[in-house]
Amino acid sequence: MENQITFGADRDVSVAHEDPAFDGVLHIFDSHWHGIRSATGCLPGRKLGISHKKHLDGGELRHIEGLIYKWGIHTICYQGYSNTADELVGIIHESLGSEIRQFCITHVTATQFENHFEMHMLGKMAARLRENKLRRLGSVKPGFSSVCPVFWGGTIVNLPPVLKRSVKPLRSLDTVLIPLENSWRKNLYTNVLAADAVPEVARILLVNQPSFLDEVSQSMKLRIIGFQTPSVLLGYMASSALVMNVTLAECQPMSQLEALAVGTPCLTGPLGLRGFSDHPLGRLTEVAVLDNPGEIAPKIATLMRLWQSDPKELAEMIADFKEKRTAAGIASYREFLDI
Amino acid sequence: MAARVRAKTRLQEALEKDALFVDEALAAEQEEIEKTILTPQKVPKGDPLAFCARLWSVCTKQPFDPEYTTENPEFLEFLNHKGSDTPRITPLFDIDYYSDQLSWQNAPINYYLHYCQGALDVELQPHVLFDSDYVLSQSGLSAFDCPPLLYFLEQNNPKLSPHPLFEPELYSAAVGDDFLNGELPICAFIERWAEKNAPFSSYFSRRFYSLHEPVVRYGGFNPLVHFLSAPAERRRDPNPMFHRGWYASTLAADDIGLEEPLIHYIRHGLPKGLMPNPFAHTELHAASLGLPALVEALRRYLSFPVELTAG
Repeated sequence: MENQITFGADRDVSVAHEDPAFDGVLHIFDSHWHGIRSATGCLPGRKLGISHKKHLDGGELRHIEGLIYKWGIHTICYQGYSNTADELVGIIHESLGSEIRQFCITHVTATQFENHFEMHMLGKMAARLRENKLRRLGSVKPGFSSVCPVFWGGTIVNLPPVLKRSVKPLRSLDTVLIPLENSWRKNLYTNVLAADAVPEVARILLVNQPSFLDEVSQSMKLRIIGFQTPSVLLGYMASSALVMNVTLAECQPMSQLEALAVGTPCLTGPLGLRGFSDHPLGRLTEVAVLDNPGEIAPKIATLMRLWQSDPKELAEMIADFKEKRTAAGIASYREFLDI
Repeated sequence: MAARVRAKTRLQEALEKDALFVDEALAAEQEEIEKTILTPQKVPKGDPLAFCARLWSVCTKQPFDPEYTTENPEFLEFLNHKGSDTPRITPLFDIDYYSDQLSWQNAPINYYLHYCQGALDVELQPHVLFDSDYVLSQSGLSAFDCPPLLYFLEQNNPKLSPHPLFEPELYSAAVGDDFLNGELPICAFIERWAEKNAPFSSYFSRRFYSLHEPVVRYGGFNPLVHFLSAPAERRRDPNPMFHRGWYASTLAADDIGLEEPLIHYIRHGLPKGLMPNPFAHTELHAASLGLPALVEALRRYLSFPVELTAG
């Protein structure tokens, strides 16, 4: 049977930033929650994947205890929360005491409370905070303490991935990639219709099928590439002119940061991240009206033209954005974790 | 340890057949030796009495010719002490541990002399940290020609290890020459463990072991002695990455017998590239490694650099 816990897997460490201050930090994430796993993969520190689908057994708990000891872990940061994570918080506190400092970061917005599981988990996190088993609760959603006042007042900033090998793709300046699920929140149809309306866009690559769209629009630009592994998807991002991630509710989308890592801009909704929404690149790529293709299409057109007129300026904007984002991300974690 | 268990089983079987015979035979043998002592004469080199004299000599640092053992009044006085009154002349001979292996033995005996009488045959161990099989494996000999403890002490080699879980060079480097002051590392470890609380094995983490053993953590117990003295089913894992129970019940289930799983792993499993826990194969990418690289990777995997470098 496949192990339910994974420590230091390649995909969780190969794009991580390095910082010796995080050597004693263990990030524990859920292996099935892909966005959170991608965000965690970029962070400095050790990585342990668990599963919300199964309780940890004695052998797994014993192994986690051994890992904590072997690697001199003094700080654990849960990325996302589940019943499995909640049990682990209690067991680690009981067996290793308060010398192991435990923190938790949520990656949800209040919009996602439609899924009641999220509120149950926030309640459990708050209970662990009251018991002093979790030291601090953080969020990647700006202003989340206005939703739950027990949360830390600052914002955890996600980092872009580090590509160990340089990517110099043959970029198709007429291609847009939309790696969105087909769900209400992800707003796939609006993104597709907006891209389809821009004459400079000749090809729209999709991971998911926009079912029945042909009853409304007869686009000849759509190409379904299907679900891709993270590394292959990075290749598609690198060879596209633009990635689109204009969703109705978002914290800090990793698609944006992955696209920037390979030098490709990414359209998003308003992220409200101080210092980044008003960055020149943020002004170019954040969309105010999310459910109207007519409002989004001009943003796409502007970026496509910029690729033609001044690609150097665009590359410099992306590089500056990434650099500032990395610095802000490391600083936010250092402050949150007190390291 | 395995040899000791085998030996004990053999003796216990003999006892079950005729307990009185065993007692009387041992007592009679010692009586014969006492008669020898009362009648001054040259003692043959391979005689248990000569072995015992050499053992006494190397421990007390009183050199004399063991062939003329019977002319040394201090040695004769030493031999007169029997049972729990047997004096302690070396940290590597634990009277209580030794006598526990002879729990059926009632006759009053000098345990050192008894060891010299029977050690070559029944492989009793003088201390929980002394494994004669392991000493033999480092000696280059095919068999001992004297009691193993005597061989070990007469070698006086600070690099010779008496037990797979004690690495003399690691311990010596951690405590320093001044602390050892010419003493064998294992003797200093047994006698003065608590003064330094230094690392002694690449495979035994003092701090990890003591996490769940409060008497070691707070009581100053020697962790290695505590570990090896505990009943096997109650022993805690002393290595963060080695799962004793899993290893013993899976990979080593066919041949481990009563041997301590960690020792079995160090001596047999690790050289074959066996995994120390159910997660190691994935974490080490073991499928992509040849045996030499895998063994090296396993050694690193089992190490705990935070503790070993901190001293």
